[in-house]
Amino acid sequence: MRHEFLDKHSERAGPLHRLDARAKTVAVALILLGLNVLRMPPAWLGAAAAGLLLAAVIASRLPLGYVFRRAAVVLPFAVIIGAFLPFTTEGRAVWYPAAFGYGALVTAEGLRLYATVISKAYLSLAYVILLLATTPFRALLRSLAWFRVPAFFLSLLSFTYRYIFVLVDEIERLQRAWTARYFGRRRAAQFRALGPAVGALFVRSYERAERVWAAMLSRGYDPNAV
Amino acid sequence: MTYAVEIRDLTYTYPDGTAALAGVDLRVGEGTTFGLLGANGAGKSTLLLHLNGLLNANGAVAIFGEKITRGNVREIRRRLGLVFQDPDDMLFMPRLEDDVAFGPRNLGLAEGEVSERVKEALAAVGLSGQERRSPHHMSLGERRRASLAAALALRPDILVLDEPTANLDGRGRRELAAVLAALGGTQVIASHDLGFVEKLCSEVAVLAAGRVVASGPAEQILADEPLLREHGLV
Ligand SMILES: Nc1ncnc2c1ncn2[C@@H]1O[C@H](COP(=O)(O)OP(=O)(O)OP(=O)(O)O)[C@@H](O)[C@H]1O
Ligand SMILES: [Mg+2]
Repeated sequence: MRHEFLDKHSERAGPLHRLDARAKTVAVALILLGLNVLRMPPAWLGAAAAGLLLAAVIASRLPLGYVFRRAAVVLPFAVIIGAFLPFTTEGRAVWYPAAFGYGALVTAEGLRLYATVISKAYLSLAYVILLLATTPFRALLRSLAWFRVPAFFLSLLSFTYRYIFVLVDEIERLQRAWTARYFGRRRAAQFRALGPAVGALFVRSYERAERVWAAMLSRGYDPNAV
Repeated sequence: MTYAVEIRDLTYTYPDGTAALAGVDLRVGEGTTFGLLGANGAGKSTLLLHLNGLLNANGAVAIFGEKITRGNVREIRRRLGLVFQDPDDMLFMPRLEDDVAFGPRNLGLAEGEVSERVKEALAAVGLSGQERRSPHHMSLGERRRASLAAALALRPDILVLDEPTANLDGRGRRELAAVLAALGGTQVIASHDLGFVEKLCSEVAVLAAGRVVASGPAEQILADEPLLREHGLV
């Protein structure tokens, strides 16, 4: 299987890697707070956050694509969730699209807010990826425990970390079995098979997760301790 | 005399109604290498899941003379190392050393002791120096030995292996046989690989349709071709 782990680059020897995990956690938390506390932060703040991020990624010798391409997964969500903003924000009208007799007013302020929301989401995720890429997951959990993050939440995080591979593995296996028997065209037939395939994915992931859980218990894992 | 494993009239039916075990009686003496033979679907894996309390045996299973209860199940899981049929079920960490350290860390050992155990277990299976590799990039033979190391790191008194040679090539089987022979101690090996069982086991039981249909010294059972044929083993 060729999936990567969240903290794949965390064992490198860059300057950020050497920093105490607690310091990095606090720094990232402060940056996220700074980015997100204002509804409409000034443009220079966004530019500064982006510049700092770029500098940190380069200084840590992380592959640029690793951080910036991964952070892009948030874009579709941000684009869709924020899509109403250009229409509902009051301000100077710039466009009045009409269709089927209905119309809506797009304002300049709305468009700015929309762009701001998307950039905030992107930058925030990129910072979290930077943190994960420079801190081994265990060290991160330990630092969160030091900050008295509740044990329940920490177990949740560590389970997500451990189990995400189960899902990725099963997706890869299904994908492989699928492409091995895919001979092009016949799109409709393909889509009809998608339902059962997704169903199989969940059943198999579930059963696999149960076996992994059994293997964990076999090696003394105590669900009641952290 | 107390047995390492003693099973009396164990029955188990899966929630969907499949009767996987229908009254199993079995005794494994201390220090014995015990082969549990059975065709696909005979109930081997189901039986092994009862040995460390993953499935509830309702008092039908005793390990070193102690029936498995809620109170002692954790201690029994430490003393009885179960190696799963599919190594991927046991290997879920980004680095091999973390997978092997998983058990010792659950015991609450100090990090120094943990890394000593990891070293020892990896040496025992011939994977020294591979601590930082990702188990997901290792060959099946290596993953098999890695999952064995993950169980060994708890320094178990009984080692239980579920189909250890499934899908292994000739060399993988030889390497694994050599590792197990060198380990010694009490071992229970579930398999339908007669050659492998013959090489390692002194005693054998044949499981068929959830019942033990024959048991005894390995030479005797493995020479009984009609029996093996009847139960789908040759
Ligand atoms: N989770 C389950 N739910 C329902 N039935 C099951 C489940 N797991 C196994 N069984 C059934 O129980 C019976 C015994 O299965 P088991 O896996 O113990 O056999 P096995 O001897 O380990 O076989 P194999 O050599 O194929 O691993 C089989 O009939 C199987 O179909
Ligand atoms: Mg089995």
